[in-house]
Amino acid sequence: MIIAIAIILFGIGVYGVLARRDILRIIMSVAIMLGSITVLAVALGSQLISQSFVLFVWSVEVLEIILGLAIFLYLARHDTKDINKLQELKW
Amino acid sequence: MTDVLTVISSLLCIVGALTSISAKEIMRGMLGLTVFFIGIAGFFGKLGAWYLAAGQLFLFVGGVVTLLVLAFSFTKTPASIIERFGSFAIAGIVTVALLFVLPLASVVYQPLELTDFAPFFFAQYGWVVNMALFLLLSAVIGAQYLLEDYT
Repeated sequence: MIIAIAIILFGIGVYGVLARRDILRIIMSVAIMLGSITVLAVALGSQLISQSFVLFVWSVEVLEIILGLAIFLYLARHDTKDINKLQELKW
Repeated sequence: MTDVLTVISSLLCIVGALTSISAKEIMRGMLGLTVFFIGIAGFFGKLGAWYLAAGQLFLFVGGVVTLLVLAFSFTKTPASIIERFGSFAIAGIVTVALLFVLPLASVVYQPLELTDFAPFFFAQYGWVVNMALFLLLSAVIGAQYLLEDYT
């Protein structure tokens, strides 16, 4: 049951990333996806390795939130939260 | 008891995730994300990963959500947010969710000790820890670069 719930949560996160344009909602959707992945890893893997893997996933999640919030504040400075308005971060 | 914990955690996770991506107001979405993180901590408790459950609550409910609310409050007046959603209601929902999940999670036996992680992190996969720290430092420097003229 936990594995099924984790897969459903991952699907909800994917929908949030694809359907929303608000940068904060995209950050939250990615957090949902990573949270479901951690649950899936702990449910499927051996204890020590999977729990250590979760700690690494947490570090990546914190990294994503640091950069996401920086982009959010950058967008807020330009009075928008829509990531489609981002032009200056393109290569 | 653990089945009850699974059902409660599943409900918290799904309701929280759906709320966080579908709520019209972003503060309600953040409240949903808080509930989602509490549900994930309940799953960790059910699976016997007590340290992960505690870390999930400390790091994400206590840190990340607070950081998100703080960043959002830079763009909105905090007083208007509190008036609109009610600080008492938000704090009450989070507290009740914590009160339900934490005692249930504490009855699960945890066979791993904290010292079991030390050789894993500092001997076997020490280079991965270094890489993660380097990535975190890069993210902080990148955020600083993005916001260097933010006033």
